Amino acid sequence: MYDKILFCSDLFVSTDQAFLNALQMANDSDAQLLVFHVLESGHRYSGHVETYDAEVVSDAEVFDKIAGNLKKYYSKLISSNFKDKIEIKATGGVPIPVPSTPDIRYEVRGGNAVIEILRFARKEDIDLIVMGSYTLGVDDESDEEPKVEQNGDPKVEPSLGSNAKQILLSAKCPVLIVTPPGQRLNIELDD
Amino acid sequence: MPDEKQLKARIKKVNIKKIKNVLETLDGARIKTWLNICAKCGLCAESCFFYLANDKNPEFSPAYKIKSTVGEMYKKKGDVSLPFLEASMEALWARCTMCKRCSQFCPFGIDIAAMITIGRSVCQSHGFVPEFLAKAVENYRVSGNQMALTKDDFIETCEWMEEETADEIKGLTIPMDVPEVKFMYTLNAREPMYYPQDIAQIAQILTVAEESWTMPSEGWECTNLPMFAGDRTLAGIIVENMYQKARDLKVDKILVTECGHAYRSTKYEGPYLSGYPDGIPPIEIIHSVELFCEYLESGRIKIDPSKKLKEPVTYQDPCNVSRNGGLWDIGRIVMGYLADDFREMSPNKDYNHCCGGGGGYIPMGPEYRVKRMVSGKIKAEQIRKTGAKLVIVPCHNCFDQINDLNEEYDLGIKSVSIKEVLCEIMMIPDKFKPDEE
Ligand code: SF4
Ligand code: SF4
Repeated sequence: MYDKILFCSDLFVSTDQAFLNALQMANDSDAQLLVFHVLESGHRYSGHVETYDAEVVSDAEVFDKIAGNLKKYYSKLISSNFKDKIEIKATGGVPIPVPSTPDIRYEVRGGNAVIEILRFARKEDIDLIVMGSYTLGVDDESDEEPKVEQNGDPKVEPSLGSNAKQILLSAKCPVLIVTPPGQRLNIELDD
Repeated sequence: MPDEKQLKARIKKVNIKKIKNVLETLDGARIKTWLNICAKCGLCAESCFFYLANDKNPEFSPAYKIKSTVGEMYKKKGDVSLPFLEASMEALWARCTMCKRCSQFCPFGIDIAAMITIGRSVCQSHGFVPEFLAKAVENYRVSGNQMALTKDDFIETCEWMEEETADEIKGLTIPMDVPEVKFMYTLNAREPMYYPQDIAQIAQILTVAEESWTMPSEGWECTNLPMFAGDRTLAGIIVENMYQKARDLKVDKILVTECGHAYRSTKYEGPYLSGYPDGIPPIEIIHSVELFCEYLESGRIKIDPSKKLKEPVTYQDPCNVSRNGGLWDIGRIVMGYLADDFREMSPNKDYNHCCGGGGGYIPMGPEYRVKRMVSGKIKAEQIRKTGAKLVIVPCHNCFDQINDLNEEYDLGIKSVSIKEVLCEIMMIPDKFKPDEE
């Protein structure tokens, strides 16, 4: 069904569920999974990425290192979640081995998340974008900080909510938003 | 703190000959005259927003900034110390945006900004340049543009924007490297990198105006931060890249995006930097504001009367478009077409204050942010007093600064480019309307 699936990693553990779904879909479709992370720059006057704490991460070496870390992190996540399921899969009654090393590529870019995700999706001819959902619930206008942990650190970029909305509304391909169990909202209907 | 690479770039010992050389070759005679005739009358002080925003601290007055830096360099005939050069960086970069407002008030017309330029070149010759600015300059060196974008990245971005916009304007294209057209469009590398929609917007306007134009695949970068970093050689190369591409394509004119310092570089300083002794660019240079004005006046672009801006609007005069580019009245004509409730800042036009982000200040990065916000107080107050909700800003640099000021001073405004407004409110002739599904 899909050839290339793009998973947008924002380095928040809460998107792990979205990653697992993306991986499952990639396996089901025999698609390549691209794990993509954008280092947001708070400074738009050079190609150098300047994170909000003013740390400068500018060169390909740094991007490669982050891609390597992403690979380590998600490989661990895969092995702890797909131990049994990933090796054998039944299709039409015939057992087919699913690659234990799925086709995953890790890419890191610097810039504005929305622009870079859309640019990358176009360049790679992506046919499905998968993202974590809490980003949708974060209201930029609200002062309330969402309680999401960033690798154990409760710091949060409040702009992420609008990023997810923008991608959902601007992408040329379908976008899948996944909410992890712990973050699902209670159903509240207006009268 | 400067990083290791930058520290290495700093020369360990002062090279007096080198400094003398910079001081002599860069208009030495005129500068010496200025330094001699400055009567220390202080008339320039109140004109400078740095002085006004920093409690009228005399160290922020134009004459002091010059006397304590370039003046000393000349007086000591280049025999200055490394700590002196380091200290000069502060006055030369963090206390002046080279906006040239002070020269309008000096009875002798002393060009403070020209002297600041020389001071910056001396510091640069010894590796003393604010770190972030130096990094951006490095990008130009390796790629010819501020963002280190590759040619492929740039072309792909244009193709992407062409696809995105084709749904809105029928037949829209972003023609690449088409020779013998009227305009070669040049832009700020921020556009392909952070604001690709700006490329889509200009394509919409030029399409609706049925303009003869091309996007160049190279030489498209019209900004010139090396010019503000004291690196005159590289600054010259950057401008020449653009002139050369325009010559190769045999275009009539170079059209510059809504960017102030790009206009200053391309039209006024660039020719000198790249070796045209008469100071005249080899190809005519037009700023977007001029072209938009021409379109509106001639009716090639018409505004939908029902969409004309109703909320209070003010106009930011970028120093390098208005005071130093002479386009302040053109900006007002454009405002007349776009807004029902236009409100002037005070002072305005060629006397408007700098936003505080010019002269390379914004690219100096977070290290200087607090200072940039302090000196931006004057602009913030000017904007607040107009009561405007929308600030129209034909400059990338002012755009960032005003956005930052908006947050810092809680101005409750939105800043937009002219392009963005035009795309929202211009009439789309039937032939460009997408076919009904
Ligand atoms: S050029 Fe502008 S910023 Fe610099 S001293 Fe003069 S008024 Fe002040
Ligand atoms: S106004 Fe002119 S003469 Fe007077 S202090 Fe300023 S630079 Fe010197």
